[in-house]
Amino acid sequence: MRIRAGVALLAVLVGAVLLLAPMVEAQGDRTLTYAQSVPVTAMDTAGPSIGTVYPAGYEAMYLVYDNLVAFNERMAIVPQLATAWSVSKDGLTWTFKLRRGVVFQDGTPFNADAVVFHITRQIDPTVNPSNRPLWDPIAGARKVDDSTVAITTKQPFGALLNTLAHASGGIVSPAAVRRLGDGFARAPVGAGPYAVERLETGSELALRRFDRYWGGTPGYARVVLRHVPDPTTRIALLQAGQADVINAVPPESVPQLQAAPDVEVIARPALRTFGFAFNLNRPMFQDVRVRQAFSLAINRPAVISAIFKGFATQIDSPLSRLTTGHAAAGQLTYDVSRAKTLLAEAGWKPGPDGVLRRDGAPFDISVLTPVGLFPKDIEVTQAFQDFLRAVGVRASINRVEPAAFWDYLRVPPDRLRWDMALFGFNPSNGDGAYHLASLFESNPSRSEPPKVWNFAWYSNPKVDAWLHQADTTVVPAQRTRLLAQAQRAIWADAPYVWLYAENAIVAKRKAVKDVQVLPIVFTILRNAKP
Amino acid sequence: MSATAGRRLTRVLRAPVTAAGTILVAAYLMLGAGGPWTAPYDPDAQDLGAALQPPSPRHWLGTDDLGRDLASRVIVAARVDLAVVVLGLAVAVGTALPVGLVAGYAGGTADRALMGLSDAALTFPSLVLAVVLVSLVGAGLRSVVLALGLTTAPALARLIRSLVLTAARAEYVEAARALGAGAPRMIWRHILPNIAGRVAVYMTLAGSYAVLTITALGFLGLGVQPPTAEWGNMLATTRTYLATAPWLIAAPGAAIVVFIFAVNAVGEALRDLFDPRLVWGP
Repeated sequence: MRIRAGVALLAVLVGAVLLLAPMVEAQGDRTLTYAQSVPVTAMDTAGPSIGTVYPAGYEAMYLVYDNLVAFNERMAIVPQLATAWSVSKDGLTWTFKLRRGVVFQDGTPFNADAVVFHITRQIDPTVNPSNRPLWDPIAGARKVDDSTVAITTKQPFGALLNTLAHASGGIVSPAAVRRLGDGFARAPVGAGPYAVERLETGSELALRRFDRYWGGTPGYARVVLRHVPDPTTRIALLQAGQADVINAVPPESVPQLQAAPDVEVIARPALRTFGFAFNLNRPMFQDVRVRQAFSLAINRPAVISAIFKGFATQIDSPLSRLTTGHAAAGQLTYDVSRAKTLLAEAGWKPGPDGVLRRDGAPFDISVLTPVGLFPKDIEVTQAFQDFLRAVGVRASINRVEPAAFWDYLRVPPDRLRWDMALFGFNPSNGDGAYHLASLFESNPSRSEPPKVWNFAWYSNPKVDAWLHQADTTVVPAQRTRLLAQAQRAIWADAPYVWLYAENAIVAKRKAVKDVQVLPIVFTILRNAKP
Repeated sequence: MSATAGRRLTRVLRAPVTAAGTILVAAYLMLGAGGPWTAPYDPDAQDLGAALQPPSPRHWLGTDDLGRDLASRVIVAARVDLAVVVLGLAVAVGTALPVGLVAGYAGGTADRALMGLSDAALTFPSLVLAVVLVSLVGAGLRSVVLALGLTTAPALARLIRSLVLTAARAEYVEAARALGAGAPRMIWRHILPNIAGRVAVYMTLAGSYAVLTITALGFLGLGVQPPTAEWGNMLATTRTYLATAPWLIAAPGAAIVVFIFAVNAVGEALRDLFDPRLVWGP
């Protein structure tokens, strides 16, 4: 009898929990779970970018901070904390009208002082060593009145709005920065829709809704960003309903997800372009015909359809077609016999074993690739190796861990230990001048590591001049013309074997609405709602 | 070979499981030795246009994500995996034999010191130890061989020591000692031949664990590196294709399972052959 009563009681309890659980959910206590391929480690807008694992940290920052201006899904600039702006005739001073009545998550007010504090902090290289090409052109910021700020630039700076919309343009609470000091990176305070609740570095970031957000009540009570490195696990979590959004879906898993009834796949062309960089310090790569021949040896449509299942886009310039300032510079063609001819003209003749030789030395190169950092990196490098073999070049693959990869690139030229390296650059402010300057502007010193990512050690004074002029003009048509010239010159010099632009592939539960995927491969959840 | 031993061998081999295991191990060894020559295609030749084809008469096991013939890759991977097993076990024997012999034969302080070391090594799970070693030395064929050898060695050294202890007290050894035989002769002529069988049994079984360790390291990305085909890294690089091209996982997976079964079958048979406690009927 007693046992029966106990069972009955248990049944009632279980029943009550089952009945109540959905009611609690219906009252708006929902959690949005995002399974990310890389972990969130730090979220300070200033500070070394090494600590911010890309893109997870930036995606988290777009939830915690609001910027003066923001990107929409087509990478156009839209107002956020600035409601209107204008630029002076000489192109040096930008005046921003600020939104009134906005508060940070710690309750302190957002105003002109906060913007001045933020800009001053970002442009100081001792505080903020990362993203320098974005912030160096800015001279300073000045408060005009409580809701007006003037930002001045050293020279006219056409990409200022892109810098302000970049993740590092997220506006911090000055009070919180002063209070927390170095601890700010782990407990940041912004004026965005979600505030940090708990950060477990490397595994999970929990955010809670900021009820006083100026843009209305955010869609979820909590947002959890969870690090799930294995793609098959991410897919399993999504299908089981334990994750609502996942990123970095492998192309071969798309059909499986499309077949699932309550899952939706978002795939869109992105700005990150890939290629194999030549180490231009090597004697065998001095001849442009050799570099062109390498490019002709690659069958890109086959790579895109076999390895990426069509989820990658052909390119006709170092820039993706969606990047601001893109101009077509040429076609990438696959022509093995032409490649062999060019190599023969450059003095490379096949030996008895089919391997090319010049002055008796075989054409052996080492190709550096990270494993698991770029989409399908090792697969693409293996395909590259086989395409080179078909024209008589013997490539050996030098695989490195993602975390160690950068150390192989950021060294002075005499310490480079590779002949070619797979690389993809994402202009995270959407701007072509930033992309081209990061990769192709001459480095200042050969006894130091490259200034940004010009580890190919490419140098063309004309390109430098055009990029400099493009940086210092605010007239869009003029900028586009200068960038087009630079793209054509770089394309002709062939410092890379260019490959393709990636597609961002994100999957979500159909029940989650308004998930944005920017072409800069960021998944933006700030507007998501059930 | 005496008549009894011959009868024993025939009897052991007649068991169907043992026979199957022996044939399979022989087949693996032949494929491994043959390597690229036994493979129907060049295992590294890509044909992106023919990627991810299911098994067909042209490609018995289908093609992988880069259009390489899977059967050929499984075959050359056998060569890599078996070579690592053999080399790794050679390192293990090379380390464990002197340690075990000295500890067992000399005893005393040497015994305590050496066994203390091997016990310390045994407290780590062997896969964890292997991962640590590979991380220190850097991934690649050489470090996998080293890791495998050094993780197998401690237990083997203990086994050899205990066998030596038993053998050294046997009457025939005491008789040899009474006749004035020196230590090298005692070890070489009297002890080693008497423990070789048991060590061989242990090595066979260790071989199947070794394959698991190598493939696990390969799967974790710490073992033999692509493009060199190895069963573990083949599993790792293609596991996202489980839903769309399951044969990519099935082929190297089956190669591992069948090999471990075969080696264990042979190991069991060897154990029966060398176990003095087993009673054999007429």
